[in-house]
Formats: sequence, C-alpha cells, structure tokens
Amino acid sequence: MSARALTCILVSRGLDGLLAVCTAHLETALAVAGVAEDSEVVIVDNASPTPYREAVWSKPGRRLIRLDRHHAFASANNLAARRYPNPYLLLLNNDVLLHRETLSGMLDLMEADPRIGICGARLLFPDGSLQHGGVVFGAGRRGPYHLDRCRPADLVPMQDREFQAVTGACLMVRHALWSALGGLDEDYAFGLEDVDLCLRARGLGWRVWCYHGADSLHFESMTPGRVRLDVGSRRLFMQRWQGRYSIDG
Amino acid sequence: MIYYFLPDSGHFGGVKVACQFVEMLNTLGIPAVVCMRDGFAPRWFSGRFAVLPEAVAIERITERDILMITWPPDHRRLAHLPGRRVCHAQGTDPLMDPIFADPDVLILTCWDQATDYVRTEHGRESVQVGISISDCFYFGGGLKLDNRVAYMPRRGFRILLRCLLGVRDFDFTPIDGLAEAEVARRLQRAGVFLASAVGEQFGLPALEAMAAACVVVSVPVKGGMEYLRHGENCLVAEPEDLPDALDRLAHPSQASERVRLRHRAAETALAYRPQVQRERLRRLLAAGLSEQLT
Repeated sequence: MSARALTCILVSRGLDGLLAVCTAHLETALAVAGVAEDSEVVIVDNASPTPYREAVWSKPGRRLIRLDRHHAFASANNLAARRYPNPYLLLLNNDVLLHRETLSGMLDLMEADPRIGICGARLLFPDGSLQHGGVVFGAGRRGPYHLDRCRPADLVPMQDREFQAVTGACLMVRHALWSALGGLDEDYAFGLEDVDLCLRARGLGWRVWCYHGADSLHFESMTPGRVRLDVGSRRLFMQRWQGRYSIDG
Repeated sequence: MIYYFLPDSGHFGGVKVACQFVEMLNTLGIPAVVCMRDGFAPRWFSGRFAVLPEAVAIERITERDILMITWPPDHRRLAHLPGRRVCHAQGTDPLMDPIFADPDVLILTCWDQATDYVRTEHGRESVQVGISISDCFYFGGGLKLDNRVAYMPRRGFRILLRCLLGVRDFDFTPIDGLAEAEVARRLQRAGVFLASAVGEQFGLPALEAMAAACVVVSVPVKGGMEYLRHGENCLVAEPEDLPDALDRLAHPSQASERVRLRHRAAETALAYRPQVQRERLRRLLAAGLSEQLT
C-alpha cells in the first residue's frame, strides 16, 4: 500500500448524472496526484430510489456499497472508511467537481506538515463566488460559518491557510486521526459532523488547513431533504460546542 | 502535547497572553491546547486555539506530555499528574517563588524583569519567550480625539478618581470588561491612556494603548518599565503625582509634545507585534527549545 493511497468516499442518493461527472473529475484528480493505482473510490448508495447498478458503477479501483435504508452522512462514511482503509481518507460530496490539481495539492500540504490531520479545499459556486475557503466561528449564536462565502472568488487570495474547521464536502483526513476520533459522530443527522470532527481533532493537537491552490466547483445541497436535516444538526452542534471554541473574530 | 492550564476564561490579560502563546506554538508546529476548568473558551478576544475541559485533559495526560502552568496554585494542584512541567511566567508575584524554585519546572518568561528576577532571586536561567499584543491595536491612521483619555478602572481607582475629578480638560472613557476589538477601537480614538494600576506586572493595556498611538501616562510598574521610558515615549509618575502629570499634558502648549510622545509610543510598540514574538520563538525552538516542549 502506498503511503499516499486514498480511500475516496462518495455518499450519494440518486442524482446519477451528477455522480458520474463527479467521479470522472475525481478520477482525473487521482491520476494527476499519481495515486490512482493505489486508491479506491467508494460509492455509498444511500438508499437511492432507483439503486445504483453494479454493472454501471463497478470498474477497477471503484467499490459500490448499497444501503437499503437511508443512513446519516456520518454513519455512511464511517461504514465505508471501516471497510476500505487507506492512509488517507477523502470525504467528497457528489455535487463537488474537483479541479485536476486539487488532490495533489491537498496531499502535498499534508505531507509537508505531519501535524496537519485534516485538509479542506477551496470550493466555488457555479457563478464564480466562493462556497468554501475555510470555516470560522462567530460569537454567540452565530457559531461556525464559511469565511468569505458568496464573495467573488477572485477577491479571495489563493493562499493555503489554517482554520479551526473545514467543510466535509471535500475533506481529506489521515486514517490514524480518523481512527483515534472514531470517525464522524453519528448523532448528527446531516450537517456539522464535519466541523465537530475538526474541533475534536484540534483538541488532540492536530492542525486543520484549507488548500487554496485550485478552484473546484460545489453546487451545494443538491440532495433532497438536506436543509430539514441541517436544522437538527445545528441545534445539536450548538448544544455541544457553543462557547467551547475560540472566536475567529 | 502541551496542555496549558488556566483557571477560567475571564477578562484578564494573562488569559489572553496564554491563549495567544498556545496559538503561536501551534503555528510553529508544537501541538498545544488550552485547558479550562469548565471547558469554555474566552469570548472577549479572537484567536484560533483549541480548548479542552480540564477533566478531559487530565484523563489524557501521559508521561510524554507537558503541563504548562501560569497560575501559582496550579503548581501544587496538578502536582499528582504525570508529564513534564513548564511554567509560562507572567509575573513575579511572591506566589510564583515556589514554582521558580522547583528544579523540575522549566521556566519561560515573557519580559526582561521576570528573567532577571528568576536569575537573581533563584539562581536559575529561564527562556525568555517574549510577549506580544494583538494586531488590532496598532494605529491605522483614523481620527484621534486629542482630549479623550481611556482608562482601565479595575485597579488604582482612588488615583483615577483624583484624575477624573481634578483634570477637567479631558474627556474620560473606561475600557474595562469589553471585547478586545472594542477596546482596540476605543484606544485608537483616544489621545491619552491613563494607567493607574499600582503593582501591575507588565501592564498589557498600556502597551496596547501605545500601539494605538495614545500618550500613556502611567504609574511605575514592575515588568512594564522595559517599554515605558519617561519623557521619551510616555509619562511615568508616582501615584500621587499622576493628576498633575495629566493636567500638565492637557495644556494647549503641550500639543506638539503629545504628538511626539504618540509617535514614539507607536514606534516602541512595534517591537511587540505578534510576528516579532513568533520569529523570536521560532529561533528559540530551532535552538533547542522544541526538544523541551515536545
């Protein structure tokens, strides 16, 4: 097993066309990073109304896990990570189209500093504004939010930066850290389990960075019912964490 | 990993200095977290440091870890825990003496007076890691109200009261109990800062005021004399003379003197920028401190 080998986990429900484009971009990025041979793309069919077909999705380097009932984002990822371990894990949403250089940049960043346990990526909305460039924390009820969200991306420096958290839409994590934390917390229905993971990682002394060297695309919240689940997750997150993170200002 | 223990997250300069030190260590590759008894992070200043509840930290600490302390009672209170001890000394109060005298504790100091104190009183060498003030305090060139005096009412209030009642040419504004960003905004607007806290260890607010280009009028302090230079970048007066010093400064004939002191104050504060301390710490780590902190 290569030290750079990745398990890329795509939890997806329906949206076959989007998933096909997403995996094509992912496989290009894996090839550019030079890890395509050693890595695995694990597609978790999270109870799609029409289940993904093995004949369509299976090919060398890809795995399909079919879940007959809907799982929380956390438990679906945890299951895939347990089944296909590699030195690095990549959590990827099915509505993220990776830039070809993104994975190599993220891997380089993590290899340059062994204290970086988690690395996120710069993501843009289709209109060219920033969707994600790192998560910061506001005072009071504001809590975590995406820094510079919706700002024209060309006004946001393409400079890698340390944060307290990054989004799980495209999140690379060392397997050793993932295991130490027990993966994502399955109490979250959908949303903020990624931020929870980052805060717990920082509590163990690990660093969280965001790679800004390339623009990938994120359509955001394409899965039906996502917003409803977000509300409960946010409530849970604030119960657990409000006041326990430092304020970024 | 370093576990930096603090009693609480209240409005005390020492809490901010500690958290900023942890953040600086992290940026230099040294894993460190802040441990609070209640697990809550300070909300009155910004930063990027992890906070753990003390009980969680205590469960995790092993022989390989480092306990960093700054609050004197923690020396005895945490003595039963495994791990090496480091004291981030933020003062030379007599309560610190048992820590300075403990040969098993590595001493990190923040300023010259503390370094000298540890050497002369305890015959020990410490590592001076420096101290810095947040970037938000540095004067950005906005409007300054020449007659506005900012002050910290927490200590030396009797002296302050004499100034407030006796010097009528100034408009006084308190800066206690506020978020750091608001303190910075008020200091940047103020022309003068009145430091009345007798027995202050370092006097972080006075240095922050200098960064904000205020004329500092201060009573003598212990560690702060390394940046307070009477007549050169501030005015230092004994407590009983403070109202007169302030009154003289208020005179219209002193306008150019106020400008001169403000410029010199801002220049002095540049030596305490976070990047200066970070560079100092980076060199210390490269010179061997990193082996003692990891």
